[in-house]
Amino acid sequence: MGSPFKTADDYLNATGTLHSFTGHPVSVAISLVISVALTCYFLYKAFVVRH
Amino acid sequence: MDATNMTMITVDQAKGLVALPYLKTFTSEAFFFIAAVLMILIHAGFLAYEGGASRSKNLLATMLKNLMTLSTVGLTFFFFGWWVYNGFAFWPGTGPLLGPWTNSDHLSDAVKAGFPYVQSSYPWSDSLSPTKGDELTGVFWMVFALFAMTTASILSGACIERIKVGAYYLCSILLGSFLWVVAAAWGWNYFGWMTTLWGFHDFGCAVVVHCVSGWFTLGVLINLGPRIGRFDKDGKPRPILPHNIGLTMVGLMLIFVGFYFFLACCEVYLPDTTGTVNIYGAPATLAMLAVNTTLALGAGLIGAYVSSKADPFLTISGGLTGIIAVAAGMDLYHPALVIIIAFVAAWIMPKTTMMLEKFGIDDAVGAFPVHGITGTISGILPGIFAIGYISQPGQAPINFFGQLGGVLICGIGLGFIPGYAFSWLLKKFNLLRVSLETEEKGLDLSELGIEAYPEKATIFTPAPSQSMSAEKKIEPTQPSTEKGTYGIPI
Repeated sequence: MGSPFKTADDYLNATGTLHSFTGHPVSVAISLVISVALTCYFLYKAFVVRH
Repeated sequence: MDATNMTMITVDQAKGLVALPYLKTFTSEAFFFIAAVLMILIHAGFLAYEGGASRSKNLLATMLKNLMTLSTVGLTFFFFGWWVYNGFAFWPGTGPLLGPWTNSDHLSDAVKAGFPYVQSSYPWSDSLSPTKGDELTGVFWMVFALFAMTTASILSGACIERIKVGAYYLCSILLGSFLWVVAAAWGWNYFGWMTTLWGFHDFGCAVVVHCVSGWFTLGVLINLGPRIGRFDKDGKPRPILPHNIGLTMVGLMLIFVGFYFFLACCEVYLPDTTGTVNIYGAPATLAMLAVNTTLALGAGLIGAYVSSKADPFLTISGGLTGIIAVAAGMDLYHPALVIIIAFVAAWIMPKTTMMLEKFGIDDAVGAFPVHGITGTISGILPGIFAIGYISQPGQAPINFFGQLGGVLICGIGLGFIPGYAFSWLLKKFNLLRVSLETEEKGLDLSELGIEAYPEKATIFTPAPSQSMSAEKKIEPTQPSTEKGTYGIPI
């Protein structure tokens, strides 16, 4: 999880993706699974939460 | 000239080409002008948010105090704040403090490159006056002035219902027109020494605005003390309920809208450039901002909803928490990572709010948890999730210790310590807090001589045993008691 660019010039002249998961599809997949799980957790809690 | 490369154009086309340089400047000028004006929604939101969070006896004083931030910070940011942003960028890391006394002949090439911006930041500068010579400095000034007002407004809500307005005005000037500006000069500036030497990265001002103001607020709150009735004799917290939580929630919705424009102004779009960049000159797009801000808002809301068990006040504060949590590195985060960070930070926020109560701190709107704690977390995270980016040749890459150092300098050095010291000084001269009588009676009647809901006397329903003559004896401006003005427990 870091810069996909080796130098400042690579970064400044980038034409594609800029994010730190670039080239790490597994990180993207894991994050997406967690994100979906958090959303489902919220939907579940919406039925059981009582202040 | 080779005749085969010549192209014939019409007179209208030629006129269009002549207008092109102006249009390029105007596009940039208009972008920042519109975004800056729409940032005023943040202040409309803060005004409603704080007004709703106060009790009815303090509504007008609360709103007026917030409103006057536009004056105290707006004017002083013109007098010296804009210069501080440009003049402090190099000092003390990579160059001298720049000002009217500076002789540019003695500057290094790197510092010399930043000196014209310093010269255009003085209040007597032509760049801030009506001129055709510089059509951009004025709109940049307005953007930064709005940032400054936002920073001061964060303090405003936390200390409602008991701070002297004069004390708040002084604090707002110190925070809004100096302290956060120094932080921005060092860490949110193309020439800033923290960026150059440490690789410090703070795309959306999570540290220089939110962390600084949140920690400054904590310092003030320690000296200011809690509102009467906020804690019982054993120190156990008792809720002081907002008099109009609907107004509070609408206020936060306005703040959300305003923050889209706040973040849009964190991107720089200049004539003759090939794309938008962040303040460090590295590529950043509005499309990124659109996706990541919206996801952070959504994830923050559900994080706080779950954590607070659907408390409306904390849930909607979670939306702002989510945005702040990703603000420092949102230009470098994948959207899925944004969701996780925003959810976790917003889940933590209600817990820190309760923890603050255990220390006897009365933060009326949760400014420290939402801005101080979340701004701190946000500032550190690029040192974990976005390491190695180098914004300019010769500059240090983003790294954990650079982020941590920047957060400590901004949060503690430019936030907590000055906030505590200055409010301590005001307290020593009895300038910080209103009197007991004023606080109990309410600031509206005590200081403004009017109340927000004067018709409340006409809707009073007497008990059946009361005669009409007894009703006439009811004081329409009855001060609040231990049971509150409207019977709301305090």
